[in-house]
Amino acid sequence: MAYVAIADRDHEQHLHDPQSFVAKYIWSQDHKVIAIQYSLTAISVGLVALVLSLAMRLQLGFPDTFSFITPDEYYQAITMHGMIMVVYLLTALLLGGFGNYLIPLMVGARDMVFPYMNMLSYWVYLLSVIVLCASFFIPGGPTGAGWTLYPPQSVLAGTPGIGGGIILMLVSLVLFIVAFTMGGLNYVTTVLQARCRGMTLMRLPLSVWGIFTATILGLLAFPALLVSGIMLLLDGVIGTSFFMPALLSMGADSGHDGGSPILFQHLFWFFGHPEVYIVALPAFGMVSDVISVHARKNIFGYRMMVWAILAIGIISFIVWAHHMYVSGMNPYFGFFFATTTLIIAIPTALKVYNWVLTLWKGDIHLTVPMLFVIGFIFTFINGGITGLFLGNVAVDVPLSDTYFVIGHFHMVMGVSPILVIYAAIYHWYPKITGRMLNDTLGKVHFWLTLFGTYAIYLPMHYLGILGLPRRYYAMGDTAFIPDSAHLMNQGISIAAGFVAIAQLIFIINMFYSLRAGKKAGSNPWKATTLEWQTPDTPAKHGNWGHDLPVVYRWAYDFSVPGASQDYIPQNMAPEDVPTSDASYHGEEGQHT
Amino acid sequence: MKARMSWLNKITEKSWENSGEIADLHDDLSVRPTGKTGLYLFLAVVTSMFLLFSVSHQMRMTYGDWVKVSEPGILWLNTLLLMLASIFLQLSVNSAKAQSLKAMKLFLLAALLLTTGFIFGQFQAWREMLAAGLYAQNNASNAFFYMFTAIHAVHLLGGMWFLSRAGLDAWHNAENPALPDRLGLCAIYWHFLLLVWFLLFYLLLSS
Repeated sequence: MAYVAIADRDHEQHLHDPQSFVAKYIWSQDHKVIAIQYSLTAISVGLVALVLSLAMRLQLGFPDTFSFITPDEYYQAITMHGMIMVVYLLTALLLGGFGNYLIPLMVGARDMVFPYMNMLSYWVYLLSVIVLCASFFIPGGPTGAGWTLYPPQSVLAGTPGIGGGIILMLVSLVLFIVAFTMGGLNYVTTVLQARCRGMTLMRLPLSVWGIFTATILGLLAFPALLVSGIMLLLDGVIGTSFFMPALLSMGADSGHDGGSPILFQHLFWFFGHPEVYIVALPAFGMVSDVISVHARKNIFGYRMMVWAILAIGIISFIVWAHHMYVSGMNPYFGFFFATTTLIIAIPTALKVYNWVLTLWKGDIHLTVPMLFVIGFIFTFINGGITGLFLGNVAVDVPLSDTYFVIGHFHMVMGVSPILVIYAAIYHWYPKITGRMLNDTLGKVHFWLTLFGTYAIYLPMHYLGILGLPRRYYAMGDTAFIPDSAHLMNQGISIAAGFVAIAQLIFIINMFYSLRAGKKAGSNPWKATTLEWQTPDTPAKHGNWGHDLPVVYRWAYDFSVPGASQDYIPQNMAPEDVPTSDASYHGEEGQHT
Repeated sequence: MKARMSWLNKITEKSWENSGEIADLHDDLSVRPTGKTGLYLFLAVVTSMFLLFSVSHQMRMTYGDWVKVSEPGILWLNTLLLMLASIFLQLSVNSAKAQSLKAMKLFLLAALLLTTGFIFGQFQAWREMLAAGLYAQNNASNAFFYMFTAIHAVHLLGGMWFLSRAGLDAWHNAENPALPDRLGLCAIYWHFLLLVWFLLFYLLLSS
């Protein structure tokens, strides 16, 4: 049978139009509703993780003060904070939230290609969150194994949550991976096959490229977490010995024999390192789009940006063991992974240069999204440079398991993507709700968040160089830790409190602006990409009204010489472009 | 080579230079049925998973406590059943395409029965292992046997759900024009799971 591209048989498609409230907002198959469901769930569970981090900071800054934080609870807080933030907040929000919302709108499709599966993806994700959070309410509480869940300690007596917490965590992860796979198949297939007429791969906005590549990474890397999760579950529940070595536990033979904890570490980090880029690549893409719109300038080096995303995606699969330098590996092995780690810095640095060069001589508007993006560039450079320290075996060994590591990864994959998420929310909120977020509240939120997070994480690098170990409930009277380090820990905790309060400003702004925000209109930032060209704001079911858009140009036609306005939407035909200079049409193709 | 060139051409396009042109999207990929693309992507995910299981098996084998276990003989018969299921499902697809509805139903039924036979056969292999006192806790090679067979069977059961739905359609609405494609997707999945079983069976036999 001969097939016709989706864009060319639009009018043959019967888009199921939901009528009831339940079909529209609960069991919805509309990508925009699913995106909002994903986002609200992710942000809610993220707030739980934020509260857990505050509990940890209270304990670290003021040990022996708060009796309600026991050592067990501290480890449970560490574990749940890490896992929630990395998997259930960042991955779900960037791909399930922004991926769902932006892909069909940006590629000019009516919806995802498998809407029913998309709906299932959200509900299985919600189930995974419920299973995870259920562990707070069972006897023994959630697991306190650390977010990496390393065996043997994660399934041995003495670790908090051994009763059921670790089982719920592993079951929840398996469910999350099932949900992600259903969503991921949708995102990739939609980008490949549901683009509107004229939307070539190289006319795609970089946000789509970032989300697309990150999803492919997720589809190939999450199976490693699945495999390690299933095997760890079997070790813990029925007593197999995939990872568990022969050992005495609490003075008794544990019954295990010959398993390899290092095998678990390899599997975990074969997922864990690509995971960094599953979070980073969508953020990179969205930064590129926000920066270009708010600097009124085409992105510098578009093709290089696309190739860099692809190169980072590929190389991210051969750097995983740089998380395991202290596991006793062969020095040549460490040399290989240090080398690949340094190589991946090249395409990453290329992207940073291109963002800065996009700003160069641009018509920079210091809007709230732009402020967050500029904050991101500084933070990402900071976190990236400390990554060069830790990527080298000889430097990593003394810094391993110190506060330096916490400072590094929070800068590079905590604060950086969160700043981009804020930039993206401030940027796309007008399209999602039809209202602008309050500017003043946004700016207060930005400055408090930026300075606050630096007050938290910059000092941690000094503490790390001093040798302060991470994962300790209390430092006690350790001889090499001076009083000034304790004082610094107090300061960090106070800063953490301020940053947490600053996030309330954002939440208040979200709800306040929903009703009282200035009406946005369809394209308040005068952007070129398709999501801003929908006939309705917020876009209605089916996105495009009667006809699908047709794309005539790339996504970055800003400040084109000869054109009378400083942006040309992707779907504007050349003959419709308003010009101030009669030569514009004759110079088509030369204007960049 | 041609496909590679065209992919390279696509991602080297200087899109800022060709404003106005409507590029031709009628290439091989955009006109492929979406279900097929989705399935191929899913197969990539499952391949990644089984490869990682295999690597884990190979790494775990190198440790001192590894015990070589002889697998139940029924696995050979099961392998034959799954091969036949795959062949009959392909014949069913070919019959559907040739509009030979009676043959389509017959082959489809045979494929469903043979697959069910395979799954029961795997279950029987478990029973034989358990009867011989070969438990998952005893050593890692036993544990890999149970895990490999179970996860492979779960994937096959997932496929049975879709194949049974196609089967219901074949009986009640055999003229459905989408049926050959749906059966075709099932057949691809069956062939794939047959290859996976060959890999797993080889690993089990060699350890």
